[in-house]
Amino acid sequence: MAEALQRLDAHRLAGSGRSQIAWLALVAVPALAIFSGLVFVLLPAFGYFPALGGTSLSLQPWRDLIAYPGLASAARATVISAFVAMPIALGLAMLMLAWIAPSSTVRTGFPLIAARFLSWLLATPHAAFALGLAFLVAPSGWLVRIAALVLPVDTPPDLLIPRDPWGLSLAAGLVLKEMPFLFFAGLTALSQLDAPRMLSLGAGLGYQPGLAWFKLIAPRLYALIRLPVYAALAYALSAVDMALVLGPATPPTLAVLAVDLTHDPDLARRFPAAALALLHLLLTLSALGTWRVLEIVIARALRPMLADGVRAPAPAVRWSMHVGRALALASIVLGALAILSLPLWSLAAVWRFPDAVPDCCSLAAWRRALPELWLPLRDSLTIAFTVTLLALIGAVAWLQLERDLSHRMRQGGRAVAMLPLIVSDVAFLMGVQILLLGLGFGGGWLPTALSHALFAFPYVLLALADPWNRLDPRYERSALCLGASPWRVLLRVRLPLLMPALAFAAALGCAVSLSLYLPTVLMGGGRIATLATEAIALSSGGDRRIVGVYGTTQALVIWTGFFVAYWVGRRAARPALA
Amino acid sequence: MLELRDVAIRRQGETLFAPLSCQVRPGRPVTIMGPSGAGKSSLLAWLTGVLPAGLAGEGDVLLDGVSVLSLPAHRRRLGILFQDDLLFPHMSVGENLAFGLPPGPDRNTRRGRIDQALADVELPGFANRDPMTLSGGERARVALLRVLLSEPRALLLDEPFSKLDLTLRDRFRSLVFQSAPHLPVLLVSHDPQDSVAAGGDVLELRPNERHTRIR
Amino acid sequence: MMGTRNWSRRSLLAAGAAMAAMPAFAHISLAAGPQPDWAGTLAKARGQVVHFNAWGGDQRINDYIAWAAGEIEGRAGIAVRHVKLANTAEAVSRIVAEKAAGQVAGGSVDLVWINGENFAALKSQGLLFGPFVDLLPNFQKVDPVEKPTTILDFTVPTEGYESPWGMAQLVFFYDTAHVAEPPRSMAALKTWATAHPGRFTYPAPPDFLGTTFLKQALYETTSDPTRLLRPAGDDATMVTEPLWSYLDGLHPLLWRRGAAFPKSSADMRQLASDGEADIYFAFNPGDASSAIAQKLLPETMRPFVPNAGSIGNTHFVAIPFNSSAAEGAMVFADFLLSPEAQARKENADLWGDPTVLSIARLNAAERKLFDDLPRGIATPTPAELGRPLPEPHASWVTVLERAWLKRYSA
Repeated sequence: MAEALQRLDAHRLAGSGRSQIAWLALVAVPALAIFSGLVFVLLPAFGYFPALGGTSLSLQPWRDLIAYPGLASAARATVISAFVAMPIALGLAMLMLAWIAPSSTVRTGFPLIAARFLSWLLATPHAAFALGLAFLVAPSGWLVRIAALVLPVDTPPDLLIPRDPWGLSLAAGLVLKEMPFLFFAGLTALSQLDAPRMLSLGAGLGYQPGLAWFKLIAPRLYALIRLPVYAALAYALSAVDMALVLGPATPPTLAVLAVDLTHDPDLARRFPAAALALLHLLLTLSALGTWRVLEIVIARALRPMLADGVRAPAPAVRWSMHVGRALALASIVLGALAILSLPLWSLAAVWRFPDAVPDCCSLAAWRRALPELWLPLRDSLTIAFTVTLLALIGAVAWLQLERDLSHRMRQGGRAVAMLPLIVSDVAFLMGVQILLLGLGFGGGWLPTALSHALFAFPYVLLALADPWNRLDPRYERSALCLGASPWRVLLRVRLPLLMPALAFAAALGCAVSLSLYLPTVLMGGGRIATLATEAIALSSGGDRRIVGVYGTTQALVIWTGFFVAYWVGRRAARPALA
Repeated sequence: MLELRDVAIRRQGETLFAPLSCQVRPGRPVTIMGPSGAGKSSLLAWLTGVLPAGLAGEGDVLLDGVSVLSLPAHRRRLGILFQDDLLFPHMSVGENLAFGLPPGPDRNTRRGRIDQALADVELPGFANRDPMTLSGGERARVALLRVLLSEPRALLLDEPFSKLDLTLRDRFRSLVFQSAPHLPVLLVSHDPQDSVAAGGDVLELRPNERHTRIR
Repeated sequence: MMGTRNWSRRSLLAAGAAMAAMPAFAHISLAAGPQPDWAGTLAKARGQVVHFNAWGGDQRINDYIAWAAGEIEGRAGIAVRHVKLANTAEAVSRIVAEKAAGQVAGGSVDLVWINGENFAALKSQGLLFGPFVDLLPNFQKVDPVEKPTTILDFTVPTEGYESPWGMAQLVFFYDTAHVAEPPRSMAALKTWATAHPGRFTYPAPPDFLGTTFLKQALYETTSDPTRLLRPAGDDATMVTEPLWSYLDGLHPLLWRRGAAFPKSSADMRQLASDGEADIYFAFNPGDASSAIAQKLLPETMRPFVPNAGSIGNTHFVAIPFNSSAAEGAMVFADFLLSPEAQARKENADLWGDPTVLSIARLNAAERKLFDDLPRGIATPTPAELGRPLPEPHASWVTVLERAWLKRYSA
């Protein structure tokens, strides 16, 4: 046994040089993609793009951009929607964690139901969710119709919801989508914190449980979910699908404006479009920097609280906790209603204001939509499967190759993998589009799938990393000592043991790809229609029943993926019972 | 005085050990012994009010004649010291101790008390140190200080010495028992040396049999 | 006041007719039948995939296109993919960019639903395939004298580079349950909106319908409407000034007080369906009827046309210069022009878009297809429609859109 281990170590040391190079090659993929994207948006932003007639650097694109009507309002709406949504989403997520899963195990009863709802919310794609929410909160929408059951409402009030110019409806949608995301990021991070013992220690020292959680767990938890928080903030600034449905229209948010400019028939507009994308990148980076500064300032301000010995929250704090809980509950209810409205619309024969429920139930909308639904569904699925396969293989290779590396290198690699989620995707995708244009490609299936993979990979990697690292290394050592080669060990021991985690990561990869909107729009060259793009395109078509069909289909496909993953995971865990 | 009356812990209907009764007086720490899995930690968990799901406790626990079972965990004022020091990593040594101190009156007084306490255990000037930079023995002392500063009414020890080196163990044991002469101390351990150092009654947990009193 | 308007309208119509009589006719060869190599085109088209880029914001139109695609697949073995656009400008942008990048074949757009300034942009930059309209057998059934806009797109001669698909005229619809007497002029609209604020709006330019509303309002407010038939010049500001003062006064009375606008005609119809607006308008005279048939609008909707007449045009399909399936596109365009497809399109239960064909040029069997078409209860009669006002020159579109964005966006 000892000899075998010695051989293994020697083999490992010899191969570690090779595996380092291979790992660096993997890391280089997202790094190069983003770098080339940014380079090719930087050059046209300063006037250089020979294929479109720009042969010398100049500041003209910036002058054109600043002269564009409504730029300031667009920027204002973008920043307000993100900076209103993020603190609320983070606060509600932390509150929910403290309330229903303080020590990372979710007990049965109310906490379990709430956690289930949150996972439904999380798994619903952004586009479909935004469409449901827009219907829910509109002055002629579901909430008002329900209120019309008791209140005398004859005509819808003339209120500017959604699509208000300050971006608050967009912020509401973002809160409802980011809160579950941060909740589950926190839940997985909690398991690393030894929360149960910390909390019982706090209780032993006399601290009321809620306060103990906020003083002992929350600060460390935040440090662990910092990357997901940054990713959420970056998404809030660059969401195009949600902004098209919930955000202001004239002018729209910066990301939507950039896409509009890039599709303008006047080719000269591509230069200010690139300048706008670069501006968006700078905005994202400064937003992240501002957030970091805020973190430091708030941490410093709240630090004395840790040591003041106060065991129970002040009445004002208790009151605001109750308000927070009510808000969290309300958002779960709103989210559930928003999701529910889609299948309800798809089955409605007629549903006009002020009916609170539609004239159920008719499959006419499904029958009408089905012939045209098939093609986007097929494209969405083929892209999703390919992307997931690529992401899984990449993640497995990444994790296998990084085993011999130092902690710092691993952290660095993770940061690079997560770059697509944090760097403004409008900026580097536009750059890649310009690059492809210069090479003569208009875009199509392959660039779309590759761009999807760039976004799905970090999620798959993060979902797989924890179970991978927690697998007892003695399984592999035993297998190696029994004479199996490292390849066999990987394929016959490690991967089968990780089947539940692999299944979940696969479902997650599919979900990410199926929800993506902007990469398909920019990389598809007009030929790729997915469920996400079709749903948004149809949303201004005046027939919510068809939109309901597309949104429901999109959501159903994703939920099915998670069910299958769960089922596969359970079967794999107990093969003897199969 | 801390008193346990017919205390038993059940897991899915089965008792882990026979009903236990004892009286713990200040100055005479009681040791409860038993092999792993006998339910020692579960007993302490139940006493402090944080018993995990799947387990149930019965019996009564009285502190100075008043039952504590009706109180939530954070009001029982039963200090606990674990095997691991569990110093909060996001706070300095001084902040850890201040966390244990009752609230008030003002920062300077609190700081003074902390500095004095640290000096008393031969850790002068450690208030601003990061707990992770301290040695195992130093961390154990800080953890002890923290629980003592919270002015508990009884002290529960969950094998707090087992992770320390042998040389440190004796010193820390004496420190613990000398620091709390006014508190009832209940020690749970599988190491006979601990019971010798404690000096009080020793009870051995046996499943399904009447508990045996040794000494 | 009334007299002035009638005079303006008559002069407008006369000027429009005069333009139609211009040499634009020259290229139309009224030869007896299709060109001899149509069979060759059919043979080449078989098996091709045509990416038909068409506005996808209206499900009824999408359903129609899906039907047409199914038919042509069965008849000619051509696979038509409907690429749903939010705005035709996207396709134009893509074609222009492909040309700039040197992609002269295998372009991503094979056939595009287009008219107006988008067509003018593509034609002037030489980005269209053709002329091909003469090669289509069914084009013989179109009479440009009867319907001049089938060869004149926003006063720009098509010269055979685009094939007409449907007739359009701006028609307004109102809910008789809430509106006693509809406003039949822009001035009356303002009066009505003052009494009923927040119950009317129009799509934001550069949506084509929104721009048309601006053009209609411009016709009714500017001092010399015939000026608009010529290209825009340095006097554009002076010409459009009355329009902007009118809109400045109208916007606070609009839905959402003019702070937000619907995105398209379908979005506007959604407002009517949701009870948020009492009046909406569309380019398709059969819009409300087919919406009622599909239970999207209440049955109390009725049409009205402004007293001054309303703008009408034709919409077309065109083939980009680098189309990868030009033959397939031509065969499909020809099918869209066939009496069977045109009749189905005009069916108010399905779409309701009027035909470009001349009934006089159809044989008896083909005429029958049109005779029994359900008209729909909310479709105006031909008398009500009257003769459409001609579209202003394509250059005015850009002027209006730019100025509107500058004044009202943000």
